[in-house]
Amino acid sequence: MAKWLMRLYAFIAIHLVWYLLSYRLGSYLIPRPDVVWIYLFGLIFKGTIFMHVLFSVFRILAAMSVAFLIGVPIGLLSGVNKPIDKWLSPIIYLLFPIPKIAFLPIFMGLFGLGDLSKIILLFSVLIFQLILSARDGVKQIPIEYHHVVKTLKLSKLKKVMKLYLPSALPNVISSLRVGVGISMAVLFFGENYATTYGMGYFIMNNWTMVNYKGMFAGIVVLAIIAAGLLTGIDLLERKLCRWLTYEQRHIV
Amino acid sequence: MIKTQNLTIDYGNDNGMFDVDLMIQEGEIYALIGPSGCGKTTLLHALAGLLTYDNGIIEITNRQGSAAKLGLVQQKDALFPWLKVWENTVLGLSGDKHTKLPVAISQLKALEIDEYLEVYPAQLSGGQRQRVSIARTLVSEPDVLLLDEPTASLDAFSKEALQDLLLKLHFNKARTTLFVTHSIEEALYLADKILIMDKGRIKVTYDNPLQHSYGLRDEPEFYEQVKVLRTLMNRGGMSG
Repeated sequence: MAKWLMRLYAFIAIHLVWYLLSYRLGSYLIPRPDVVWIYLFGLIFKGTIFMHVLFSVFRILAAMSVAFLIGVPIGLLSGVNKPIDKWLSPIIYLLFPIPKIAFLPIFMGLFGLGDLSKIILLFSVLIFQLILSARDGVKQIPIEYHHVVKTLKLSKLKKVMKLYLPSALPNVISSLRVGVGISMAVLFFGENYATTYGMGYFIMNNWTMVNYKGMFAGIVVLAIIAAGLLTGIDLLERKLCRWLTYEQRHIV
Repeated sequence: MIKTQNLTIDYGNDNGMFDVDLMIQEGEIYALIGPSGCGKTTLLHALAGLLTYDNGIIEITNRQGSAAKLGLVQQKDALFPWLKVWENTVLGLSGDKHTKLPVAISQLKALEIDEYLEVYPAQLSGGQRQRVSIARTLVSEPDVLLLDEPTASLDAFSKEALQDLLLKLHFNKARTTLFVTHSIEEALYLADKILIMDKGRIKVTYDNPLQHSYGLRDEPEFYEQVKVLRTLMNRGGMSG
């Protein structure tokens, strides 16, 4: 079935449940979707929501890009080099599960109240899972592939570009995909401190003003941003991991 | 030329290989047969520089007497799934697409698989993939060829086609070759000499009277030789 048709199905299904909940629990608690959409179109028409969207998207994309550029090389190195893995993995295993949100005051103290502290917070959430996914991607390389690069005497750079990085990419991209959900949750929290821009601020501001239409409009926008990021990651995967299309085509 | 003396890799519990003496002259094809776990692949990997050894000497030289360039073909084709066929073929070469593509085309043509240049390995059959894997090895012009059960994962038809192709390639350019196989028939069909290995030691070196028995595969003398080799393998209680 066409992808757009599946998206339409998801859109309709979610709206049906939303209508049902609004009907059962009362529209003062859960406003009806049509009311929220009309309110959202009003916000778009007035242009008030764009800066919030822009700030949130900028923060999340900046954190993802930096985490990717730093996390993937560290993960590859750890996957290839046993001593590095031996010393690095225990540290990552300890730091990875810690709720990074707890460090927001420290980040704000160190990096200021502006965007940087929020980007660092998101970065700290994403970096560990990217390191681990890249490392595991390299560790899963079959021994025969290592024999090939050894007997063909490939240079270190060529080994990275032709073997390690492509082996890790599917894992890394899956990890980015999972990271979108976690990042949105952390961003929502982080944008409630020392800022007047961002979807987190927008949603909470409407909440405290008991403007549930506005709050729900913000949640809808957050969902659209997340869907946009996930679609972007899908496109990135299709571009960088073209071979997967052929490997998975016949799997049922 | 491949020469080893007292080559030993001891994995413990009688596993590995012990005191292997080998002398393969320039341009000869040797087959290495024996039961599973007898040390065939260990010997091949040691020669390919993939394993360190506990004792002994390995000398692998080219016609000029200097260190030979080695080429390894493995049982699993190990083509990189993210590289197209032509990119896999020239993996060991440096340069840009402009210089490497013609080399890939010419090598893939020699292996009769040049129509699949732009496809990914997942789109090929097992036999086709193994041909690309051989092309990838040959493209760097190795002096010595080491093959680890190159036809083991293929169906009977692809197996025979690939054996014929390997012989054809050898007739065009005789490289010093050692290949591991489980198949007595394959050893007889391809090799000048056949080494029978058991429990980590080379037990018999057999001069193949049907050297490069192109077209003799269905003849009675071929089956006679299969019988002789099978008897030699069974003698001494080889298990497999």
